[in-house]
Parts: sequence; C-alpha cells; structure tokens
Amino acid sequence: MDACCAVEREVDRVLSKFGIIGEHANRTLCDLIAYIQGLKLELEAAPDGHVLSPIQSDLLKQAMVKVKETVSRLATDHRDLHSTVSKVGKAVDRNFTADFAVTSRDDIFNDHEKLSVLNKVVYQHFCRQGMQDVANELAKEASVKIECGSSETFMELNHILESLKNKELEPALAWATALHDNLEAINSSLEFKLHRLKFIELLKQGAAYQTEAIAYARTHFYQFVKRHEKDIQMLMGMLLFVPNGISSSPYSFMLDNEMWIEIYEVFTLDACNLLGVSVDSPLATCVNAGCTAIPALLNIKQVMMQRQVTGIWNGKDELPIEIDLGTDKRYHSMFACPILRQQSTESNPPMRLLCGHVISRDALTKLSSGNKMKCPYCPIEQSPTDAKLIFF
Amino acid sequence: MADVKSLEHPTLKVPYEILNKKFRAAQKTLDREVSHVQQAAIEIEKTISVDSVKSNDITKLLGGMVEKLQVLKRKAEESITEELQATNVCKRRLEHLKEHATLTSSGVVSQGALNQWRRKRLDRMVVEYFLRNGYYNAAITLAERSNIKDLTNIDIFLTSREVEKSLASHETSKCLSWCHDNRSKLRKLRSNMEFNLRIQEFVELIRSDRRMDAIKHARKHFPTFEDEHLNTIKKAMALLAFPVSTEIPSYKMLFDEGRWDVLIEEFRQENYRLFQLASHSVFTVALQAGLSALKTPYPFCYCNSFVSPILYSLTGVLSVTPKIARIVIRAVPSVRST
Repeated sequence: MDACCAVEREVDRVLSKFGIIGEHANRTLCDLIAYIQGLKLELEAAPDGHVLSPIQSDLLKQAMVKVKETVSRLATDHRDLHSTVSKVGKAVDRNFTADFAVTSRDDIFNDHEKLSVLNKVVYQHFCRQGMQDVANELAKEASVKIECGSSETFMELNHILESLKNKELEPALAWATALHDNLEAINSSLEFKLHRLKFIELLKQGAAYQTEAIAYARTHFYQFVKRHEKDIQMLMGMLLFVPNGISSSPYSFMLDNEMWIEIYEVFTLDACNLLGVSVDSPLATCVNAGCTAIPALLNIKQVMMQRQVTGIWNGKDELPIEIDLGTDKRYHSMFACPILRQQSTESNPPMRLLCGHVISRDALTKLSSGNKMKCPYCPIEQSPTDAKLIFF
Repeated sequence: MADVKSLEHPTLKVPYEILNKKFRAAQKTLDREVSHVQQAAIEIEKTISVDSVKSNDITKLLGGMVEKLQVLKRKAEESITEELQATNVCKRRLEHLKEHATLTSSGVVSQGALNQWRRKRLDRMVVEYFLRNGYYNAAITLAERSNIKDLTNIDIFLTSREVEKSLASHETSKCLSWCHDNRSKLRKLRSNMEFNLRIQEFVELIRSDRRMDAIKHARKHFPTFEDEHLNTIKKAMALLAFPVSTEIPSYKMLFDEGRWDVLIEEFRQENYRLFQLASHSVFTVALQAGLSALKTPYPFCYCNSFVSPILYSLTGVLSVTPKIARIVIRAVPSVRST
C-alpha cells in the first residue's frame, strides 16, 4: 500500500501542477491578447497616415518587452515541471520491482508445443469463466483445437454471477430455491443471504415499500430462524429507522456495497461446492499461487546475488525455499524424510518400517548394516527388506 | 501487498513513459510557438526603432502578433490537456492497484474484494500475454468484456501491430517513422534498429537488381552509422560484387528472407525496452512460479496411479492429454519442503 501511496503522491503533485500551469497560461495569454488588441484598436482609431508619437512608440516598446517576458516565462515554467514529472518515474522504480522475471527460466513457454498447451489451458479458462467470445477469438488466432461439452456446467453459473454483478437477485434466488435441500445439506447460508439482500433492497426504497418488506420477511424468513435468529432480529431492527433513513442509523453498514461482493463470493463457493468443482479455474489457481510465490523468490534471489552464490539456484529441480501458499492450496500430504530432511522423490520414496515409523529409502540404506537395522525412533531391530514402500 | 510491489511495475511504468513522452512533445510545441511570438515582437521593435513610423504598418504587425498569441494559447491548452490525460491514466491504475486492499466497514481487508481484484488481475495479465503473442483480437475482446482497457497497455501494442504488419509485408517506412518518433530515446538505448532497417533496404535494392540505387542509398544513409558499424557496412557493400544467387555463406545469409522476421522480433524487443517492459509477460512468469510452488515432486511421479492435483488440474478438467501437460510441468522446478 505504501508503494502505491508514494507513487500516488507524486502523480497528484503532477496533476495539480499541470492544472495550475494550464490555468495560469490560459489567464495570462488571455490578458496579453486583450492588451495587444487594445493597443491595435487604439492605433487603428488614429487617422490615415498618422505617424507614431514618441509616447506611443514607448508604449509599444514596453508592450513588446512584456510580451517577450510573459511567453518566455511560460515556456520556462513548463520546462521546470520536468523534475516533477520525472519524480513519478523514479517513485515507480523505487517502489516496484522492475525485473520480476529473474526468478523464471525463459525457455519454459517458448517452444511451440508448450505454447499450444498453454493456449489450450487459457481457452478452457475462459470457457469456464463464461467468456465464450474471448475463448473463440483466441481459438481463431492461436489455432487452438476446440473440444466442446465442458463449458455447459458453467453456463448457468456464469449467467447468475453476471446478474449478481448487475445487482439482480432473481436468477440466483430461483437457483437457490430450487436447490434448497441440497444447500441445507451443506449448511449453506446462501439462500438466507439472498433473501436478506432482497429485503434490504426493499427497505432502501423508503417508507412506501415497508409493508411490502414486512410481507416479504413473513413469507421467507421463518424457514431460517433456527440458524439466523440474530441476523433476522437485526433486519427487523432496521424497520425502526425506515422513515428517517437507514443510512444515518446504527444499521447503516447493512447498506454497504460489501454485501454484494460477499454474496458473489458465497454464491461461487457454495455453487462450486454443490457441483463438486473447484472454485477457481486451475489457471487462476496457478497464477495466484505464482503471485504469492514471486515476492519470496525475488527476495531470495537478491540475497543470493549479494552473497554471490547465485550458482546454487540452478532452477532445475527444486526451488531454493519453501513457499507457504496457505492451507487452501495444500492439495495432498507430502513426505519429507525425518532423517535426511529431504522431500521424497521417485528414486527416494518413503518406506514404512515394521514398527510403523516411516523414513526415506536412502535413509534406510544408510542405516542398515548387512541385513540388520535399528529404527532410529524405537530401537526395534529388523531387516531392511521388511520395510514397505508406501503411497499416499 | 508484496505481490503488487513485485509484479505491477509495468502497469505503472508504461503510462509514466507515455506521460514523459507527452511532456517532451508539449515542451517542443510550446518552445516553437513561443519563439514565433518572440520573433513577431522583435520585428515590431525593429519597426518602431526608426523614426516616423506609420500607424497602419504597426496595426498590421500587431494583428499578426495577436494571431500568433492565439495559436500559442490554443496549443498550450491542447498540450496541457493531453498531459493531464496521461497523468490521469497513471492515477486510475494506482486506484485499481489500491483496490486490492479495500477495507470493509469494520476495518478488515475484504476477502471478497481481494478475490475480485485477483480475477481482474488475471484478466489483465492474460491481455498482456495475448498482446505479446500477437492474439490482438482476443486481447481486445477480453479487455472490453472485463472493462480493463484503461488498465492494460493495449494501445502501445496496437501501434506496434501496425509496424509489425508492414515489416511482414517487407516495408520499412512505418518502422522508420517509428524510429524517427522515438529517436532520442532509442539513441539512449543504443538501438541498432534504424541501421538494420537501412541495411535491409540496401539488400532489397540489390535483390531487385537496382545496384546504382543501392549505392545512392548507401551514400545517403550509411555514413551516420560509420563509427559503430563499419564492419557490417563493409560486408554489406561487398554484396554489390555478388549475384543474388551467391553461395558464399556470409553473403547468402544477408539475402535470406528470414531476416525480415528477425527485424520484426528486434522491433518487438526494442518497443518493450522503449516502454521499459520486461521481455517476458508477467503472466508466464507468474504461471511458472505458480506451477513450481504447487508442484510436489513425490506424488507427481506416480501421477498415473496417484494423481497429483496440479497435473490433474491441467489434465482431467482441461482435457489436455497428460503427456503434453507433463512436458510443461516437468520443465519447471518443484517446491521445497522440509
């Protein structure tokens, strides 16, 4: 945030200075034009063949000096703004990383085969996002082979999401009502939240609609009393303030735009949950994970450069650091050997010992002498051949 | 926040470069108009310095001056409005970047707003990826659908599309005028674009067997590049001695049609440098890092029996054949865990 604010300060400065200079130029030039025109009119009024009097020519000389000064001042004033403008560029450079690509290898996506995989992934992403037109254009320009069928599941969802963006509740409400039992089964509050928004929208329209709002509450809210008693009480409390305007009441937060953003998220989450698909498309998941990972990678790269040990990061097998993407991006468990402190790989898979402890195969070979070994945790003696490869 | 800092440099730097360019242009126009006015003033001063001046002559000159002042006023207004517009583009992008940390009324960062911002960011990145790969229509459609035209650098890519097209049809004029527009900046970057274009023109003249014209062309354009590129010039001049069908490798190479594609690629890279764009799109960089961060080495190798989710996401849902998906995934490093 600081980075944005720092740049914004400079941008604001540029805006105000350009505003001032624009206004100033306009005013002074207008004055100047009027002044010269006045002189001209004065001279025109003189009879034909009139010769300038010394006073008049002095006046003219003064006028010319003034003109020259004013216009050259204008040009210098504008030139002086250069430092203000270039400060914006410096602020951008100082606060943002120009060379974000150092963490990546440039040969990943540059051959034709990989590019076409990537384009296909992007194509599917837009199909799923409901932007069929974008997907079609891409297919045409990047010659992606089209496979149909996968996008239909998302058609209805995207239609509803689109209407939620436009603050229309009806399609979402119809969907939620139809799937009432399924939503109850996953303990979803989506339906209640949709009705709540509808109710708030009615109240927003003022006192004339309050009977309608009450009627709406009577027909719909009773089924949610069990789980949402508190919320319903709050909604009813809003009714007190309808005549004086809810926006100046303790309930003003109910009118926040945040409600609409929230309903959008809740709908996406619950609908995807019901359909058994992940919320974000795989492409979005990957890119967002990348955006989380890059700052950490940039940091470590910089440290490595300072210590002059860049060679360690060959970028081939493993990233140099662990990256925490948060629990929702952890898709399965991983095994890191407690003895060697290494992640298991194809050639070094986890092995389960007789006693139930698990170590990696390399550790197992190192610990065993002949056909005997002791478990490093519980000193049970066993044969290394008893250990079993495990999958998870 | 850190991701904004690391990834949004081009989002802000490009409009800044445009603003800077506008500023320079404005200064040039202002200087020119100011000097016109000043010349008029000097002329009037000269006229009144002699004795007994007729008022008729002066009024005529004064009339001319008023006109020039009016031109100056109009031009100043126009230039400053353009500069303000360019600055406002920066401002809008900053506002968008700040949206990622929208606070709810209770003062915490709103997760919903953040998710929406992320979706928008992905769209922005994809637009840039499309543009870099030349999928212009897809880029425009997406930018309009998601209403992010202001937030992407679509305009500079569209200008470059024109130049690329003309280069692809073996024309140099558009690219030369681009070089001319950005002359001072290109010189600072030590760009060889103009020189390479001139050489190519020379080669084309010989190809069409207009050798005299080729010599004239060489006389006119090559001397400016003498200091830096004397060797290349010598080699090019030697072409005059050979037929187009020559088999000598170093000259045959100059006649290669593929040199036009090299020019297009060179132009693209120079254009990126001009606006301080990195040579890779943010999209591929982020995707690569993301694949690495999600990829775990162990279950991955057993993906036929135990499907790794990342591979699954690329294969199952996306109906990309596992074999190809694996090519991409094998290429990136995996995450570390201890």
